Amino acid sequence: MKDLTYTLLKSFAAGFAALLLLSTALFWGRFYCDRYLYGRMAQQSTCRSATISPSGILPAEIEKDPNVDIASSFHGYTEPDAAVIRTRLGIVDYFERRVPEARFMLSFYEYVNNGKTDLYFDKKSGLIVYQSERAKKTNDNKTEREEIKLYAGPEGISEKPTKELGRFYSPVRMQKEPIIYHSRDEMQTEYVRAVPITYDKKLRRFFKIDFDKREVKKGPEIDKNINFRPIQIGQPRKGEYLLSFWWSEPMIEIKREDKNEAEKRYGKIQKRIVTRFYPPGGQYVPFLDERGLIFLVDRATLEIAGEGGYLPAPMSYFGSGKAARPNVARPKDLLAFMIEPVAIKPDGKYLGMGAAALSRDGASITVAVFDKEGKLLKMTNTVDGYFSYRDYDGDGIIESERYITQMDSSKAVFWGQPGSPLATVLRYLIENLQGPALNIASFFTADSFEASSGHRALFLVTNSFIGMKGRQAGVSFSWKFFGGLLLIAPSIILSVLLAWSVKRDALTKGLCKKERLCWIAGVLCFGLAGYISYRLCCKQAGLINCRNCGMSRRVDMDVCHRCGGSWLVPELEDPGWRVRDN
Amino acid sequence: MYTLIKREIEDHIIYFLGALILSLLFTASIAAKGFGGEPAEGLGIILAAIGITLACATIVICALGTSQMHTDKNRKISAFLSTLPVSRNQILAARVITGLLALLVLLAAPAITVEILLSTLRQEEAVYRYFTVEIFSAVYLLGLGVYCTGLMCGFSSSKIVVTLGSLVLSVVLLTIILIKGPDIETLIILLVYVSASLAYTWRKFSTIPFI
Repeated sequence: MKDLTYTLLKSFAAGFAALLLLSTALFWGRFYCDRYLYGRMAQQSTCRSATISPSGILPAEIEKDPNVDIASSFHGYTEPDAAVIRTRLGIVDYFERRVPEARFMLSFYEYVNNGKTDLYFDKKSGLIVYQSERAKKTNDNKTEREEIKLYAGPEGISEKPTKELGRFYSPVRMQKEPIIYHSRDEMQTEYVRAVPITYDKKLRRFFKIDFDKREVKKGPEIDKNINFRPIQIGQPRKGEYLLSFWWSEPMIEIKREDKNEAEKRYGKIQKRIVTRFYPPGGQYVPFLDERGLIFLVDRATLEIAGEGGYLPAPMSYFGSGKAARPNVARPKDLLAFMIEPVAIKPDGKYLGMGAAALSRDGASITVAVFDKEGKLLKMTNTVDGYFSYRDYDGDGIIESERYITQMDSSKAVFWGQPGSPLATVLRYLIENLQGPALNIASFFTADSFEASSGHRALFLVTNSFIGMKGRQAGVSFSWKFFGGLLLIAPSIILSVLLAWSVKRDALTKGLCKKERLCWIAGVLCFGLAGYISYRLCCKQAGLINCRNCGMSRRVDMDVCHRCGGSWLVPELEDPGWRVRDN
Repeated sequence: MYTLIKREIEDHIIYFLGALILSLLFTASIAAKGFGGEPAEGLGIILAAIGITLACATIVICALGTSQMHTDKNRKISAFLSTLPVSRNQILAARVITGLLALLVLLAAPAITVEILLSTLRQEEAVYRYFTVEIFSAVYLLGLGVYCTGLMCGFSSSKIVVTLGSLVLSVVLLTIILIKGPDIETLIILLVYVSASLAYTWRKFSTIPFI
C-alpha cells in the first residue's frame, strides 16, 4: 500500500512538473506565432481601424449639407501587434495594475483640477474618500499646496468619517468622464468636470456626490423586479491602451478674407458645424451592465432613462459567443471596449452613442452607432481589404450589405497575409501538443475566463482554435462538439500513438496490467506531457524468462504480467504416444 | 544534521561565494543608482536589477542543485554516508536546506535594499505597498523551482542532459513570471511545482541504488 502511494506520488509529481514545463514552452511557441500573425496584420491599415462616416446621429440636414467638407464619424483603432505583448505577458499587466498612474486601479475615480485628486472607496468605513491637493495663492502672492480630504456616505459629506454618513456596500466603479476639451478651430481649452454618480448594488439606488457643494443626492430605489447588474458608470471602458475610439464633428470649409500667408500655405481652414457638449452624455450618464447592455441615467433625477445601446459583438473566427441578445458582447468576453455618448451644445441635447469593441483575440474591432432611443443605426468592423459597410434601418434589419473586401480581419489575421497560413498551421499544431484532455477542457471552459487572462493561460488555452469553437454561438452543441473533436484530431492521433508506444514499452519493462492501464489512460489524456512523465517514472524491472509463455516476466510478482501464469510449471500430461527406435 | 549541512556548504562553497558576490554587486548597484538618481528612475533601476538578479540566480542556483546530485553520483558521497548512522532522508534534507540558504544569501540583501529604496520612493509617488513582498516571494519561489529542476536533472548520468537540460528547463521555468506576472496565481503554481519536484527528487533519491 505504501509502495502504491509512493508510486502515485512520484508519478503525479513528475506529471505536474512535465506538464508545467511543456505548457510554458508551448506558450512561447504560440506567443511567437501570434506575434508574427498580428505583426503582419498590423501592416494592413484596414485591419487596424474601423470607421463609420457619416456617424448617422446628427440630423440629416447637417450631415447632408453640401458645404460639409468632412462628415462626422466614429473611429475605432487598435495596434494588434502591441496588443499581443500587452495581453499575453502578465508581467506588463501586473505593473499596469500596480502602478497607480497607469490604470487608476488604486483610485476609485480620478480627475485633475490643477493638482492631484483621488477618489477611492474605503471598504472598512464604507465611505467614498476624496483627496485633493491644489495650488493656492497666499496674500503675499506665494503659492502653497492645500490639502482637502472629504468623506462621502449615502447620507452626506463630511470632513470626518462619522457614522451619520451611513455606508456604501458595493458602489459601482465610476469611470472618468473626459474633462478636457480641446477646440480645434478656436485653439482654446475648456475644463468641464462631471459630478460623480455611482450606484450601490445593495442599496439599489444611484447617488450623485458633489464634493464642491458638499452634498449627496439620492435617486429613487430601483424596482427589485428589474434585472439590472451594472458594472461601470460614467464612461465605461476597458483596455484603453489597446483600443482608441472617438467621435469627430462634421467640418465645413470656410473662406477668410484675412487669410495670411501662413494660413494659405497650410491650405483650407475648417470649422465645426456643431459643438460638442461636455460631459459627453449631456443630460444622461451611461452605465454598463454585465450582460453588455448600456443604460442611461438622468443626471438630474437619477432615474433610469432607458437603454442607450450595447457592446457590439466583434467578429471572431467561429462567430460570437454567448450573449443576452444576438450581436451583444459581454464585457468579460472583450479584450477592450469604449463607449462614446454624444451631446451637442448649447443645451447638451443627447443625440446617441457609439460603441467600439475589440474581440477576445484582438483581431477584430466592431463599431456600432445607436440613436437617442438606443436603436442600432450602423455597424461596421475591421476587414482585410478596402472598405466594408453594413447599413441597418431603425429596426435593426440589414438594408444593404456591400463587401468590397476579401475577408474579415478575424479570419484575415490567420490566412490573409503573406506567410500567415504557415504561422497559423504551426500555431494550430502547437495547440494540439497540449493533450486531448486539456483541449477538451478548454472547449468547455472557453466562455468562463476573462478575455485577456485567457491569453495568459498555461493549461487551459481558451483562446486557441478549440476555445474559439467552444464559444461559437448559433449552432447545436453536438455539431459544435463534433467540430471541436475534428479540430483536435492531431492531438488525439498523437496521444493514441504515444499510448500504443507506452503499452508496448510497459510490457517490455514488466509493468502490471493495472499500472499499464493507468499509464495508457494518462498518456491518452495528457498526450506528450503524459508520455514524458512515463519516461521519467517507469524504469526497467528485473526480468527473467517465464516458464509458461517463454517471454520476459518480473521476478517480484506472483504471476507473469503477460500470460498470468504462476511460478509453478504445469504438470505435463502423458501424450499417449512414444517415439521409439526400431 | 548540522554536520551534514556544514559538509554540503563546504563541498559547494564556490556556489555560496558566487551567490554572495552577485548579491553584493546587485545591492551596491541598486543602492548607488537608486539612492543617487531621480526618484522616478529608481523604480526602473529596481526592476532592471531584479531581472538581472533573477537571471544570474538561475545559473548559480540551478548549477548548485545539479552539482549536488551529480557529484554525489560520481564521488559516491551518499554511498559513503550510508555507512554512517545517517538516513537518506537526512542527506536529502541537508541538501535542500543548503539550497534554500544559498538562495537566501543571493536574494536577502537585494530585497532589503529594494524595500528601503521603495519606502523612500513611496513618499514621492504612490508606489504599491506590497511590491517588494510580491516580487521577491515570486523570485524566491522561482529560484527554488530552478534549484529543484537542477536537482531533478542531476540524476542523469549524461553530462549533456545535466548541463544543457537543466539550463534550458530553468530558463523555461523562469519565463513563467513573464507570462503570469508575480501574482498569487504564479505563487501557487510555483509552490505546487516546487512541492512536486521535491517529491519526485525524494522518491528518486530514496530508491536509487548507491552502488
